[in-house]
Amino acid sequence: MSQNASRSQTPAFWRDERLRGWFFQAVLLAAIFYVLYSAISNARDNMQARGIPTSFDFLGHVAGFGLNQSVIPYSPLSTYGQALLVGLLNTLLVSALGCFFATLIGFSVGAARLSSNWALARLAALYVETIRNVPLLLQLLFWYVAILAPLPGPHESFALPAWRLAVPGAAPALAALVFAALGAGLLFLARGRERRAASGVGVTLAARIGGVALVLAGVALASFGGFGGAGLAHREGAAGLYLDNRGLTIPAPVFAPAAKWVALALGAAALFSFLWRLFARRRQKAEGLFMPVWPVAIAALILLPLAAFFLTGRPITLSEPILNRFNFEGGLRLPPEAFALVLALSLYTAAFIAEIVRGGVQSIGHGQSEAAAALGLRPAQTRKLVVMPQAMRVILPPLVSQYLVLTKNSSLAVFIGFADLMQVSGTILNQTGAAVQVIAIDMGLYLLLSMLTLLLVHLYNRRVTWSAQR
Amino acid sequence: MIATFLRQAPVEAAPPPPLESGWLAFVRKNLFGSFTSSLLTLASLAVLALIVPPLWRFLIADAIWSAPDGEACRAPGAGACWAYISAKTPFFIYGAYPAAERWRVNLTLLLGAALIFWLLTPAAKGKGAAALGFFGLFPILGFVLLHGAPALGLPVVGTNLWGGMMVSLLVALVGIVFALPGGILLALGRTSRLPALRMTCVVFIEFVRGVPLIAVLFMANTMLPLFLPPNWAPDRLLRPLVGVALFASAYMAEVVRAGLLSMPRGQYEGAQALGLSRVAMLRLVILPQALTLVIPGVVNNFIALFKDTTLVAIVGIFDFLRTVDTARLDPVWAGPTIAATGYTFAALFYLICCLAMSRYSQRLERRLAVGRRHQTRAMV
Amino acid sequence: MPKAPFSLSAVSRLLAFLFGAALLFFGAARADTLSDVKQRGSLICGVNTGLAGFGLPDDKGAWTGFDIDYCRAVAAAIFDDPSRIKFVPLSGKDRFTALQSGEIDLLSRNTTWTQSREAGQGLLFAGINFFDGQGFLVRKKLAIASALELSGASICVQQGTTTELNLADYFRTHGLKAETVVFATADEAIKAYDTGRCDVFTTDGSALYSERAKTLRPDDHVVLAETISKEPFGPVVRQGDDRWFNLVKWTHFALLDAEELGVTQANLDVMRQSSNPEIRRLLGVEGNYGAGLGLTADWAARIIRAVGNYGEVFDRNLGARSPLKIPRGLNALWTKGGLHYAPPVR
Repeated sequence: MSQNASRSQTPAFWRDERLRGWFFQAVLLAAIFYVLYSAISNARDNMQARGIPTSFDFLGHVAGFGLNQSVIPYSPLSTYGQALLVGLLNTLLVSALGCFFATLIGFSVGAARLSSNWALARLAALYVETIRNVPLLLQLLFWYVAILAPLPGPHESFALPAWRLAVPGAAPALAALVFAALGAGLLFLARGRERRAASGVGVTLAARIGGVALVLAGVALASFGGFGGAGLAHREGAAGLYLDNRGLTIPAPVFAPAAKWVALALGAAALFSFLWRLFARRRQKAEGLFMPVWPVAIAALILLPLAAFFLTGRPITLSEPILNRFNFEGGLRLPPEAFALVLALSLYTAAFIAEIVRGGVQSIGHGQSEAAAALGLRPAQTRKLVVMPQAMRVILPPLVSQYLVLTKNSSLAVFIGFADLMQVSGTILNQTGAAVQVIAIDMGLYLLLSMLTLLLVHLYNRRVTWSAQR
Repeated sequence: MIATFLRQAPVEAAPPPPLESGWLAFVRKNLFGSFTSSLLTLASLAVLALIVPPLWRFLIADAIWSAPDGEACRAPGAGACWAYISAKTPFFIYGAYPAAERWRVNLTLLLGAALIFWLLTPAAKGKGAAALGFFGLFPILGFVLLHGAPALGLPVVGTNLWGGMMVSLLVALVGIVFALPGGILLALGRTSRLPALRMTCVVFIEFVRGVPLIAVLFMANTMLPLFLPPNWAPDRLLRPLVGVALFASAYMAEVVRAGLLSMPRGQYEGAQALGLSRVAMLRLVILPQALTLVIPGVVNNFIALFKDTTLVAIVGIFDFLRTVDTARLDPVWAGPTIAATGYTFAALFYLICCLAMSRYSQRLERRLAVGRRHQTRAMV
Repeated sequence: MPKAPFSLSAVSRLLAFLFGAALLFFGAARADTLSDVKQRGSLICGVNTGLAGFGLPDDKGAWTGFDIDYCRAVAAAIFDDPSRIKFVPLSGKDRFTALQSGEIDLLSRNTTWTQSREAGQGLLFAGINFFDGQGFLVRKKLAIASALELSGASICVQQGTTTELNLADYFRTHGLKAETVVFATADEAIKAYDTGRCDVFTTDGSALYSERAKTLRPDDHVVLAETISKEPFGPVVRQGDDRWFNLVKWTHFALLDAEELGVTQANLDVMRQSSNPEIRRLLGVEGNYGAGLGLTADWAARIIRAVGNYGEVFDRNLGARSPLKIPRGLNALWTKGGLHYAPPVR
């Protein structure tokens, strides 16, 4: 008997990949559904048994607790919903300040790490390694408990002295000129002799150090004029910046009604800069003419509002903080909690940003800077025109994700009592017990922030992927 | 006859020009190469002069190395109070764990350290056994040792007595033990073809990565008891451990996924051409290579997790940092330098541990990067 | 992890509640706390978890305090033995549920008498044994004479307490502006005040003294004279048991009467021989006024022998002989300018 030739081509149903896949997914979905269902019903039962509110109505109840800092008016008679709003605004404020300072410090430290000066590079590396390997909470507690809390009270606060420009006295000015001349002469001498190899290395090195020291001494004399203060920069009273255990007090800006013209001028300058940039880029592409963008933009952003400021009769003034019996009145005060949080977050994230910057710049191959040098560009021009634009493309996505990490790290405020979103939620949780609702709101807000940021990064990535990726 | 000159012996090598070698040349080139460079060097020296002498005075010169109580440390001009640290060291390491049972903690930590060394030494053999031991047997053994089992003659020590370095290391270990398998599963799920599985994993990973660890800890601490039936009250230490394990898995999943995605398609196709089933392909071809690729990322993740264990203090767990923080409230030792001393000690501990781990990770990365293109390290 | 699903106190609370419910169901008078206490042989007293001056356990678990002495007075009145008490420390959250459920017989825990507590929660306050009010603690060297000079100051408070709301009301009424600095616990608040983070610390007047003792140099701080809220403390019992309510109430009055009449722990025996009819009635030499309370004739003498009179109780725990040194102020007798006025025993 011959075998039945018509063998079925489809495999048995338990071997079919597609069927197995569907079956497995069905089981997975059923399991997830079951777990969620039992979790939710358990939660409902438990919450009803313990008298915990099961809806969001409690958000309209009176909070009954105060908050140390809020950007909007808040009192213990405000509602829970308003307390959460205050928390959210505080989180955004601290994150914005932290991101700003972290970027500033991070880029500086990153540039320092790439510097050819060995001492500076090593110092920056020490900073980065130390900060990156100590937990953020420890750094935050260190700043708050060990540095800011033991500061003296308002009557003995550290004050920034006010420096004003004055005409320097004759003696310091003369001494300054003499020192500067001597120092410059020494430097030239050292350079000349070194070029001709007329002196040993040690001697020229010592001469160079001496020359630099003399020039610096001259500058210092001209500015500060010895201990008598008869130099260019004159100490006179306090500048209105005070640091004590109640916080950092700075002068507060007071806006007269005419200040809106200054704001309008600022807006107009921003618009103008944006349009100028478009125009300059188009002109450059069409005709190859190199039109300066940043100098014009910065000039517009500074000069236009300044002109509006003076033309409308100086509508913005600074109100100096005055020390009364207990505290400073009249200035803006940043409580030590907020100050410590911003400080710790900035320094910590700056270390990571420095590494990102360093990695970004080093990822640009050597060939780029060598080719630029071959074309005759100076090192500064190479950096500005060739290396940094390419490096920025590599740096931006991890930089933005570091901003996100900073925003999430700002939740450490619960440890020092700063009224950010998590801390306020914790207080509301303790008072009402409505854990599910409060945590759902928290998570929702943080997820919203993450999603927005990820969307921006995604759009940016799409914009730059037209360029050839190696 | 033209006179020729033929050297019989090679010429002595002349010494290098004085400007190009030696420490003076180094100093000249790197420290005083240009005017700005010289200024920067002087500025750096000024910064060092401002910071190092007071630090030296505080930490070493004026420090009190041994004292019976806080009197000597309260004296004006006293520096760091290391006597306080040495007096509190058992508390910092074990928390309130009974003194008689501390050998159990030592045994558990030694076992864990031995297993980790075995796993991480590249030259060691029998990694499969080590992995089984570390991920399978060690958690059970560790739990039995630390918590106690009356049947085996080990008295029960409640988790409210655990504290200090022991708890920090425990949380970190639990994180890594559950994060690696969990991360691999999540990563595989996220790269799977099945849409429901992929969606679930994506939602979970993005959800956990988008919120701060403190929110996850709050959720685990307050919501877990609500979601479970009333008589399943979870232990106070278990809840943050669950939160940390979930959190670490999500971050690990991203690292492993990066490794999976960077595997060339040829590997998948070759394995399929050989007729390997899906599971066999993953087990024998893909995962070994992908995991080797991402070991530096995994170690980085672990360093970040180790630093993040300090956050469990928010739900009342007495981890190392919290014990240091509460010990400074002791009235016997109260003084102006206690806070700074305690924090310096904690910082040194974390610094040494994390530096060691990151040095190891860099060495490993260098070894593994031979023959591979330079990759930008993912920042977590 | 293996863990006992129910704690012992939760089980006993549940059982107590079921027992009480069963009694109700069977129509028996749910209240006869005195019989229960006598049958049990000891009084169960709800107290503070740890407040210096009012209820504080020492290292060995021995309790001392003003509220503790009140519990001892009631126990002495019933058993002639002030030590037949079981103290149950209760937090602010579960103190009333413990009383309502029958877990404790008497709540003596510096509890403020308010309408919502009495009318809304089925409780009765057996008199006011301590007139308290919110006050301010400031540094002596600031030389502040009155709370009205506090405009512009930083004030440390505990977050989420009525202290915050009272403060806001007071300052709004008097048109003062101040910066409140809130902390999660009272300990953090007083520590911050001590390090100079704020100029003023505010809480209940009696607690001010015990918090002052926690500062580095207590003598550098002074409590201002102003009291900005009314916080009358008293012992609390359940509604529905009139005899028990009277017993506790008259224990308090006995202490006051004893002080008014000059009877102390020391001169008790001498005073028994006194010819003053009021003293004779109080100490049970004449008449039997304890019967109506379910006690013996010498019920007041037992109390005084155990704890002394009100003045002695106050001095020992809160006044001159204690670390707190709270002045009598409103807590003096009506004859000495205070508010304590007890009905006579006759």
